[in-house]
Amino acid sequence: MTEEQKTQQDSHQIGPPIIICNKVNKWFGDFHVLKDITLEVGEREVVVVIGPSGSGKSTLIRCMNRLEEHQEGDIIIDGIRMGNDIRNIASIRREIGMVFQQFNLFPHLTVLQNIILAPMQVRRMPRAAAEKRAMELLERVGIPEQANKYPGQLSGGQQQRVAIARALAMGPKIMLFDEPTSALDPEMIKEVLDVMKELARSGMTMIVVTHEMGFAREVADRVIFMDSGRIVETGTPEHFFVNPQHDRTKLFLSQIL
Amino acid sequence: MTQDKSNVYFDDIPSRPAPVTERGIIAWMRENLFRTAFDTILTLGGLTLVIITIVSSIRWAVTGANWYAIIFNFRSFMVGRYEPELEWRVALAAILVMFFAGMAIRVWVNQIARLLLGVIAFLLLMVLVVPQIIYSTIDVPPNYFSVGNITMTSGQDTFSPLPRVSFLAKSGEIVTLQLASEQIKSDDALANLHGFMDLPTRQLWNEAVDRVELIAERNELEDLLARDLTEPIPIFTAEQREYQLEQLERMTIPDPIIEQYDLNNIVVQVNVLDGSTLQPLGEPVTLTSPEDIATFTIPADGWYILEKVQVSPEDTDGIALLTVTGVHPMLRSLSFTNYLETEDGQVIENQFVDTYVRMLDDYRVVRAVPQIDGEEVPFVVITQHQYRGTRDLQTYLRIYAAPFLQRISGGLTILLLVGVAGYGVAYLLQRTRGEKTTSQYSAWYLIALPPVIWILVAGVSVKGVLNISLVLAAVTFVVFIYYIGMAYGRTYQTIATLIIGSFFMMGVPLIVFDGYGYGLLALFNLFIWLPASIGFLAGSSQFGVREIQEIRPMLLITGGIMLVLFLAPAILTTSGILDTNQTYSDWFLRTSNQRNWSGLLLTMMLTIFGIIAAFPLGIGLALGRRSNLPAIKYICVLYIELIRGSPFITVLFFMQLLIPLINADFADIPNSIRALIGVIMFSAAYLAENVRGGLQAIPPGQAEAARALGLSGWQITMFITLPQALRIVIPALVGQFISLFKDTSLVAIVGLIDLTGFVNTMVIQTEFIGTRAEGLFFITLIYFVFSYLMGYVSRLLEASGSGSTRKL
Ligand SMILES: Nc1ncnc2c1ncn2[C@@H]1O[C@H](COP(=O)(O)OP(=O)(O)OP(=O)(O)O)[C@@H](O)[C@H]1O
Ligand SMILES: [Mg+2]
Repeated sequence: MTEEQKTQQDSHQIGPPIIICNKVNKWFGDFHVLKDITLEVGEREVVVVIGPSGSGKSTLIRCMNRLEEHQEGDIIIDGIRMGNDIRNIASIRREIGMVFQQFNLFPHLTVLQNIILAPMQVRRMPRAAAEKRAMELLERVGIPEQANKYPGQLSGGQQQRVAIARALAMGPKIMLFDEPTSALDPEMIKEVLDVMKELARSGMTMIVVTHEMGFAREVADRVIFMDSGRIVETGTPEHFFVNPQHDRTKLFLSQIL
Repeated sequence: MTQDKSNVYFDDIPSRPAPVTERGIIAWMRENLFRTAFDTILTLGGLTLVIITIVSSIRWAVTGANWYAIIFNFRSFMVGRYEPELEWRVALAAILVMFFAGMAIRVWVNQIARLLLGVIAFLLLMVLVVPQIIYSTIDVPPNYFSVGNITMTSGQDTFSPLPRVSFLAKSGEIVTLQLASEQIKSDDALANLHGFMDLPTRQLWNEAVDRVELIAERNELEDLLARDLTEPIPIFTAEQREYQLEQLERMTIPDPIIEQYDLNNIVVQVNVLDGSTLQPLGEPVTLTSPEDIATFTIPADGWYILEKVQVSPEDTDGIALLTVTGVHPMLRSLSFTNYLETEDGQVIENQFVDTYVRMLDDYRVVRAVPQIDGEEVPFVVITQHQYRGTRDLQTYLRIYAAPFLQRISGGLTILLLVGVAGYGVAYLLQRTRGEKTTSQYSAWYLIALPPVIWILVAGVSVKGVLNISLVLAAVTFVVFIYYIGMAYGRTYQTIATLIIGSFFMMGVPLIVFDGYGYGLLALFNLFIWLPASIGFLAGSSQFGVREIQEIRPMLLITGGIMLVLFLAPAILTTSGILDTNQTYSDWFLRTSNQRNWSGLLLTMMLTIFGIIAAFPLGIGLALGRRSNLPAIKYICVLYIELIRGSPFITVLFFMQLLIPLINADFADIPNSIRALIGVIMFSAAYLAENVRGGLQAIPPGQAEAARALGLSGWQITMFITLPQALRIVIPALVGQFISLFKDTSLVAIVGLIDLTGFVNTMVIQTEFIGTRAEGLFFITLIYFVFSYLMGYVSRLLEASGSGSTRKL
């Protein structure tokens, strides 16, 4: 690790835990997807989750904003316990932004309308303010000139950046990324990763499911390896890439590196 | 094995244009129509079929059909028995629609403007110029009138030439009369005569045609029998020959018709009298030979009488045929006039009058037929004075096409010009206010159009306004309850509010009006607890999501509106300020009798309002079917499957029968409205399934992304899934709209006179018995034009806007 990167990481000191998972278990029917997941993510921490297909990575982060329901254990986001109370879910979703593999932009709305919809409907922001903020965010992800196009008219990388701007428009404290680059062509991956790196440096708490090891090495504070629904190994990027301990981790890394 | 060599190419190859692959029409045909033997068979077979169909229907239309049935009944096809004095409101509604169409074309589908301009120019040319050209280049086919003392018999009937007939003529027209001896030198010539003929002439003509045909048949048979003997292989067997000989025996050719009646061997005197003064226009003219021509110039518009008598020999039963020009056949029609000043200074106001119409050029008068000695002089009525002989294209154009085009020219011209005006106004708006504002205006116009059309066509009654006020109160009540739930959650107090409020909404209409009266809309209030409960559940499921301060103003606003809409009718009626039975016939939009709705008007009203009302209902059913609440879900499933499981016609019959059973007062609801309810219920079920299909086609990622952003279930439906689903199902919806437009013809079976129903009515008019084919032909044309336009619009819709750029 270079000196420069060190100082950068120090500049966003990891704060007290903002996401706490305690013995989380989840089943799809009889299939045990998440097994005793215990995990704490601090404020401003960047966590990368890796693991083979079907290991439950997506399910884990989807539980964190209640797109999936867990059956056992506790998930506490920013001090709010995830339960069946609709009010808690609503306020947790306001804290968490999510970016999907397939972008999931709303194809019938323009880029700008995609971004201002939730702030206006959920946060009751006036249109002018919402549009101003949307333009700032588009500036930040580097595509202000696309504001009035429809998603179908953009490239994959541009669409994913719009999706990031859309999630940021709600002013979340935490961002979840579920394989944000795996539906993209190689030359577009970089533009999305650059936006994510910038976001990480600005102090956003992030959980990123990805197979981009370069990104993990450069940005992650911690890497989590999951297999068959459980966390097999966690550690710093150096730990993982220099000296992985578990056989399955070694096997997995040897396959993707 | 050759060794791999590495090569580097430094020179760029410049791009060349693609080779020209132009093919001639022959090559194209060989490739597309006659590629294989099978293709050739299909092509030729298909072509033959098309040609046979088209040629035979054109031949029928030109030579056989009686299009007067259509021209004469045109108004009935359009609006039927709708009150004539309110007809201007229907016209106004049509004008508003056309104006919108013009605007919409400018705003949304400008690319077809040029094409449409061409079409409009063509149509205007057709209705304004073409009839005039036809009138000035093609002569009216001649009339053949009979004169004489003869009495003819045909079966049970006896008839003889009329000494006088009355006819309508315009100033400057010339009536000529001449003995038709040249045209009827032989029976063959008589049989080949064509033109308008009075009854005795027609009888002669029929007999001549029969005789000529019989002779031809006999000659043919004789020829066959002769050849049978000479040919090496006989044509007939012995038995057949015997039979044929017997047939020949039976064919007795009557005497030549000309000789039998001693045609045109009498001296005839003719004159024309003025219809009102009964004074002759000139000296009587005696026609003794075909060279004599009697000519009368008509001095003024109006009724005239043609006098034609046999002068010598005085006591014999002679008959002569006259070729007459300048006398047009016509029809009498009973029609309504608002105000009319006849030429003799009489003023006719708001009453039914007999109108006499010259079918060939639509010249009409309302003055009565001239009378002599207190008896009407029979006029040249088209049903007795029919066109006979082989009609050719020219005759067809002159006697049917031109009058029809002229008949529709006024209305069509106005409508087309209004469309152009709408286009122009939209263009100006775009120039001055910008495209976005214009498109917004057009959208508002579109939304306002249906209620305006309804008000124009149906009129406004006090009762109706009060009912609508109550229904709107009920709608705001649902919104109010939604906010109550959102603000205060599911508590005993809020549930009590729901129950008490629903009771009021249900009860007050009952109290305000003595019974429901024509309170069809009050039916809505009877079921208010259902939407109100759904609103309550939806609102309370979001309890606490928003601050109560944010919700309070909405509560006050909706509550206030609700109270005003709710209490105003109650106060105004119970205090006696408003009389619920008043209709404002003099100063406001008088209500039309919905029982009278018929023709295209009824078809249109059923289609437009059927779809518009079915739309929210269908969407609600589609959403309900996907609901997590079992009660709602299964009610929706039951409804949809029940309706989809029964034929439209049973739904229509059920509506006729069931509605009065719900409440005895509903028996007042006219047939047409019952049919409309049936249409709505029927199409809602199908619409629901279409919309549900669209909803299912939306990838789950859409709703997930929206949920992750914190949108609530209703917001996701309203902003994300429903708009996309509706866009997907546009083609299906338009398809449904088109089939509904045609399916409304089934209402003819429950006794309504829609476009199809009117054909049945038309063919029982004595003048037009047996014109069903003409009627069906005409309404097919109308159905086709409208269906095609709707399909075209839907294809434009699909191709325009964000629909084309969407990519999931
Ligand atoms: N809705 C569901 N119903 C039933 N099984 C599911 C459902 N969603 C996921 N699963 C199963 O749960 C397991 C974990 O799925 P998950 O999507 O979390 O894996 P993942 O680690 O994200 O894999 P990938 O790298 O392929 O995205 C898989 O075996 C999957 O088949
Ligand atoms: Mg996954």
